[in-house]
Amino acid sequence: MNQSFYLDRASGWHALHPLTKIAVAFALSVTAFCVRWDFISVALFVFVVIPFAVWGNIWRPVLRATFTVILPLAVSLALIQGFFFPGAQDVLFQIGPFALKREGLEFAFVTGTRLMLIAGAGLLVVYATHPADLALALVQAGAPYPLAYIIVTAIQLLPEMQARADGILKAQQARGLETTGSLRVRVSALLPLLAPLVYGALENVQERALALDARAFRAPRAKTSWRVLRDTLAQRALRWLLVMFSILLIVASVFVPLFIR
Amino acid sequence: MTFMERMQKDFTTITLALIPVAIVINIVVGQVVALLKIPVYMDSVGTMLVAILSGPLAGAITGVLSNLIWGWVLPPPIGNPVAAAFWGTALVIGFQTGLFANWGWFKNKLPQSQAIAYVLGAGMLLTLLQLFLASPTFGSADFTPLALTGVVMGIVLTVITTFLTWRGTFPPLIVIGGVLLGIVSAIISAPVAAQVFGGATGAGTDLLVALFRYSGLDPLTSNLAQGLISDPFDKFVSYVAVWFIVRGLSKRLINQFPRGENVTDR
Repeated sequence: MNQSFYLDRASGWHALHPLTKIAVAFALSVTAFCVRWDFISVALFVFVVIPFAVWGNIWRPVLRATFTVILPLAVSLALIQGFFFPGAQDVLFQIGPFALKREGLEFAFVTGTRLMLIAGAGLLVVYATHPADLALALVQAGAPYPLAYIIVTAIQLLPEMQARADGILKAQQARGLETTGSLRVRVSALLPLLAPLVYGALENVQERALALDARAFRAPRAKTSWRVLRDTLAQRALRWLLVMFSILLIVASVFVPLFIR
Repeated sequence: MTFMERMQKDFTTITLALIPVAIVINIVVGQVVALLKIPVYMDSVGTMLVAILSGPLAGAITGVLSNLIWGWVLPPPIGNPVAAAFWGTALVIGFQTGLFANWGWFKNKLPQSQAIAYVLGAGMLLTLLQLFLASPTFGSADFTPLALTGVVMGIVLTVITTFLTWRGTFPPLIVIGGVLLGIVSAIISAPVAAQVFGGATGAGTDLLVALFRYSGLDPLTSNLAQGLISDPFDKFVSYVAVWFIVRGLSKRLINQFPRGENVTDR
């Protein structure tokens, strides 16, 4: 039941502190937004994201997930911007009343590769970070403890709820519920599917609250954790460097015209 | 009451227990609706539920966390980083729904004639908005037939909701709430869609964006127009669904929540 991105691999990238990985992804995304060079995102993707993914032995899932997410977006972007970019002049070819223009495609390329880089950088983090470690790192950095509870519980609940949704769908179909056909038929199938699903999910809420109270969840004392995060001085320094670099880049892109995209 | 006091009052243990469940409800209900190929998103039902039962702040937090987890913690095809960028919209959905609930909009309280007047008014406002979006004034004269689907949907929705209000099926003010929330979320989503994604999000609604762009509108306005066509319907349908869900909960359970009086008459 692996319903989070996390893939357990023994790699140096995996062993880094979650916040270090997040800082890398953040700095990459900021750079892609602030540097005015059409190929910056492609360059960062090829020379930073892919090597890191190879280091973490997760390059295959990272690439696959990046393209699953980006491909439909890229097609849509290329069509919308290629044909309807405001003020574009340079016509590449004509289909009926529509003209494909170079400026639009360029804009689609820059935006599309930028989104590809951001998705790739984020996936690089989530494939190599156990959700519980992420939650713990956030709490240790000062985030409220309930945040950790919410993230981890949501991830654990999702496969359970999906299995239940599937079961309800099959059960109602076995009783003769139509789930295909006209819009009216499909809309009227909504209630018999959603009602048991949602009530089933809400049934346990009260029990969960009682269980949390019984375990002194709201006690103001600091909680101990079963998981241990490894952090080093070098990583802490690297994180600050990356954050300072990102802030400087943002400030620079506001004031130095060469940088603005 | 200060902000911190309000937080403490709304964030009881049962609210905390509800939030992760609500996040999962957002995702799974969205999936069921997509499976049935019903042309709405309905991806905020859980957020709305928290907002009604535990107040605007809890709703806003649920919305933000929901989109961030959806975007960055769950694997594709469920998870989709596109969702994370729209956390601001989710925040407003949670907050505004909480306010509507505090104002008693999810209770059935108005006299019938007044209720019908409100619903007719909201429906006509929605239809007029769709008519404006389809009109040459707005710039979409080239494809009036397609833009007119919004007008037709507005009219159909007005007739159905007026009939249901006359029968007393649901609280009339949620029609107004849904339309208002749809307009607000369209306004908040449009800059994100236009600036971050260059106008495309990879969803079916991109076709509408393309049509508005073809008629010569600038990117931001095209995304705004698309949102103004799809969001009011989506939010209204979601409100009706949430109201049916809440109505089916036992009073004993509802009253455990910090804002249970939003939907019951204690």
